[in-house]
Amino acid sequence: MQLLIRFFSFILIILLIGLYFNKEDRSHQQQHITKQKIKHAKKVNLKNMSAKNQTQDIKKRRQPAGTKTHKQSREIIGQHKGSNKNTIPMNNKVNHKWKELYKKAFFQNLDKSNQVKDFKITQKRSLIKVKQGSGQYLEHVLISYTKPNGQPFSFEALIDSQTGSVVQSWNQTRYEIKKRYKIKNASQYNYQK
Amino acid sequence: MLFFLISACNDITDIGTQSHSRAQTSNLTGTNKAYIYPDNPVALNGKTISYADFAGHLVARFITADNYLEANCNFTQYSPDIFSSSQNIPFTDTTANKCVRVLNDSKTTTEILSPKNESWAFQTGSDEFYQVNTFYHIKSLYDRFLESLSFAHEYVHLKSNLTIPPATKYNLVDTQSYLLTKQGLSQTLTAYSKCALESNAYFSPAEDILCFGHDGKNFLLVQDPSVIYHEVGHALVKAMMNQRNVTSGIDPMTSSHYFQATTYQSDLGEIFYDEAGAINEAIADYFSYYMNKRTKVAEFAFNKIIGGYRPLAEDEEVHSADVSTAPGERLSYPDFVHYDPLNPDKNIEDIHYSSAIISHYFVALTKSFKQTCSYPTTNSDEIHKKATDYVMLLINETLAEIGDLTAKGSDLFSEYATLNTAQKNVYFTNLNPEQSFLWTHVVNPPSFRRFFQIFGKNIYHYISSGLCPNFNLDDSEQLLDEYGLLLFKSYEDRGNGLNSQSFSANLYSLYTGESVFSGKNFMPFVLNTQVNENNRKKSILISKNFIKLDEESIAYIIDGQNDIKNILAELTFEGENVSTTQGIAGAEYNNNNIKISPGEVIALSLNLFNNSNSVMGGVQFLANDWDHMKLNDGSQLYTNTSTNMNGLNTSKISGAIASHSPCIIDDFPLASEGGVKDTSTTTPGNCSYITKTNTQIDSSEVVSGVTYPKYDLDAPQPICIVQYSDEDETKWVSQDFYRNYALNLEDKDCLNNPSMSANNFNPNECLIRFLPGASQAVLGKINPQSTWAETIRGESSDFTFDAGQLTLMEVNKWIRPGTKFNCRFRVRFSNCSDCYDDFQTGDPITSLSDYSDFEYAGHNPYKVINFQFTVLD
Repeated sequence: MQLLIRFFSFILIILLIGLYFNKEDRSHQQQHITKQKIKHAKKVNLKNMSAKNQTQDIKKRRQPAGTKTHKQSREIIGQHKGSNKNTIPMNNKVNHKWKELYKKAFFQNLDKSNQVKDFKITQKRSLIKVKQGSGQYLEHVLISYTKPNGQPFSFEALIDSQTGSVVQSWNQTRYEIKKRYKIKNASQYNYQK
Repeated sequence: MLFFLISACNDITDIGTQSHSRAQTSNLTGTNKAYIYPDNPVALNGKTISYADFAGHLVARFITADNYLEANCNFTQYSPDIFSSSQNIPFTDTTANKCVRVLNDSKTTTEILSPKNESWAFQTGSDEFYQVNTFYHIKSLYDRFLESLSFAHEYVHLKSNLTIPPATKYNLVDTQSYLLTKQGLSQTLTAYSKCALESNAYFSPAEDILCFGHDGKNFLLVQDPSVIYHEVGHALVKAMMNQRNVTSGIDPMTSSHYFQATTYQSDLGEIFYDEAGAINEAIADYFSYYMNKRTKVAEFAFNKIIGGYRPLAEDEEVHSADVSTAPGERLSYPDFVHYDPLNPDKNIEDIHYSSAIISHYFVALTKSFKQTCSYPTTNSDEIHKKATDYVMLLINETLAEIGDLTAKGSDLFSEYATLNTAQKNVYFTNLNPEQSFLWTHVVNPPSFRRFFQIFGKNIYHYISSGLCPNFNLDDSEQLLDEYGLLLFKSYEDRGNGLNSQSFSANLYSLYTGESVFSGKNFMPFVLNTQVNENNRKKSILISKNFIKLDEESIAYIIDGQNDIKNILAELTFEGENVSTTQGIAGAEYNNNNIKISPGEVIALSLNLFNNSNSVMGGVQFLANDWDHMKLNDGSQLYTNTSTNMNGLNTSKISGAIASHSPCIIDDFPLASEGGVKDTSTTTPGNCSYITKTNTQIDSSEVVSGVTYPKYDLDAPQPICIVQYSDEDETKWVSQDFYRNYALNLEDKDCLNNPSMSANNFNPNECLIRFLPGASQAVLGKINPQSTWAETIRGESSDFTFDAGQLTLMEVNKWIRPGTKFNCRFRVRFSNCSDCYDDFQTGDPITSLSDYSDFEYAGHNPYKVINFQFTVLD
């Protein structure tokens, strides 16, 4: 028994030592990489460059601004008079997976017997809705699909860009003859106080 | 509703021989014409017929000069002539997109039809033949409607006495909202004449598509033009409802052009039974009469599908009930809400049946105009045109006001049309732009009462006081009353919620942007026009005190897993927001014991009892948030969330967490039970003060990228409160209070928690929450001394529910069994005598008028029904 304890203790110590050095190594590598980055940074004397080259050079050197900001590509609606959409404080963020979040919530209520086909989310507009001085990112979409009974259906919706939840839906398809789900023998469901 | 396919006894659809057809085709070369059927086979042949026999009835008509089966629609708008006060100058807009296009079906490979040698004549009975005919009838209706709209526009803006603010958009050419529009751009209506849809039809307002189905053999719905007119009628209703939802003008602050379309669009009618949907069906049926002067709809198509036809007048032989056009024997509301002429013994709640009351009224009104108004002709076709123009003017004015999501109601109140900055926050209808969609679809929807109050107002000001003085106010009220539609006491001509007198100084010239036309000012009335009570004989109004919960059984609760899953699926398919809070509540907890248990999703229908001696119509019960709670301290506004707690603890924000108490309404809850009361109706934050904006959560405070949400002082709150007991007392408290002090629940364990609602999280719905897409229900009618169930069951042994009569409620799984809740539903009905007007105030101006729009955020226009229940294991 004592031998076993000593053996496992030894193994444990070896492992701990190994972990320690591994961490040091990574840290060292990072420092090495960082140092390398710094080493490769190029100093440029702007005074000796033409304005055009300066601009081009600055563009090359500075960190990319990224693709168009969320705000720039968005239409502004609501109480937006006098608001600058680039500076307005936002009370939500854009989750790039908002479509997946919406889809998950939509299909949450559907099981194998209630599946839809050709489900499609068509993005119509990306919006910033301004209310009382702050903005909310929203997506205006067209949702279309074929119901289990084969009937095509569509509607428009406003989706929160962060949570993927529906703010409002409208313009639902109107069928002339509509078969509804009926709860039969309803009198059995009476609830007494 | 059952329907079945009737196989044609005779499969003939080729009417003539091929050589005859070829001869016909060649006759029309170079004319851009085609042979069309002017009506359905039954009407053309004068007898019931089961196949599309057009032999001998086809006539040559112009189709389009376009290279494809599509066309522009031209709208003519009038403006004042500076040289003549009696003539106006027409201007025809030709810049809009194509207004209509017809294809055979929706397959991506289907190509749009082109003419052959400038002839649209194709073999009779072929797919091409039906495409061309569909196009012809749609275009005919569009052209006729635009004529009516042009007439209406000129009359209300340039020829009327301007005693009420005109709702018809003034600058329709600028906004191009005279037909279908989206985000300010005119839209093409695409129609499929042989859609892959079995003997059914649909209109998609999201995609502006009309689909006409067929039976897979020889029957196509488009063989009946009255069906085409009906379906296009739905598209025109959408156009009229959204006419005002595009603004084009000059911004008075910047003097630059302003153009904005509302994000949402208005619908007339929700997905299940409601009175707005019935009105939509009635208007759609009326378009058939408008075009062909007949008081039957779909005699051919209906006969093929379900037998019979839909009548538009009491003297039609299909009527089985004891109705006629004699006084006192019309199809009246609410008695005939469930009436199906083909099955008079059944009680069927469907918008196509209750619509009959309205469609019959529209036709009767048109006939009255034909008989009493003066026309410059004796030609019956011309008189029909004029009389239907008058009715279309009224419908357009009414729908434009009801569907207005800018909440302006008239260009007279638009700062962009009048260049008057003082009009910025002036709203005439639907509360304000932020809440207008909720107001006109849920809180104050176009019930029969609301629609006919506005319609009646328009009759008085444009017909009786202008176009047809022989049809006076008494005539109008008596006809409305014949149909049980005199459901209001005043016409609200002064405006609901604002004093239109203060706008009389607006010069008409300023309003229209025209520089002349002096002396044409807006001339609003001082007092609202009152209904002559002597005219109210059939329209029975009932006090809201007569509606209550049944004493034996207060509700119906459905908690079977399959039923709930199917209802949720159905509502999801209909585009409703019924997402449940995963992990906190869901159908997987449902146990089908007809009790309310933790974790369940419950379908609930209040079992309302009509304790009066008259029928109640259009009963609506609402479970949406409303202003019934009061902040305990008006300076403590932060919602109780972990983010706000952290912000306060780290001094990023200053203030305190909000807490609410329930206001005492109808003596509940008592003060000793936690209820609060006050008297000043002018102090914001008070129970007696109703929110003017319906704003709930203010997310404007953002510090270092973090949002700290706060309640508005008079924020509407979720309807359920909970009973809390400790050793000292038992009282009714907010759900937030209870989840903190009794359950110690974190935000993440709440219903609609921040993962779903983000900064809109309201802990006052942590425990019981009504799903937004199922927070109201509408019942067609309730008979006297009966419940709705007893009314609908009639002679049957039982009855059924569908989602339209149910609200859906989540029950948090963390609730301890034995916890007691009280949910404050608001209930009202269309023929309610004391739901809509505040005749009690004593103020000579406001006491003769309806409640202002903001009052619909409170309890005054409703009967508050307290539904109490205990959560059981």
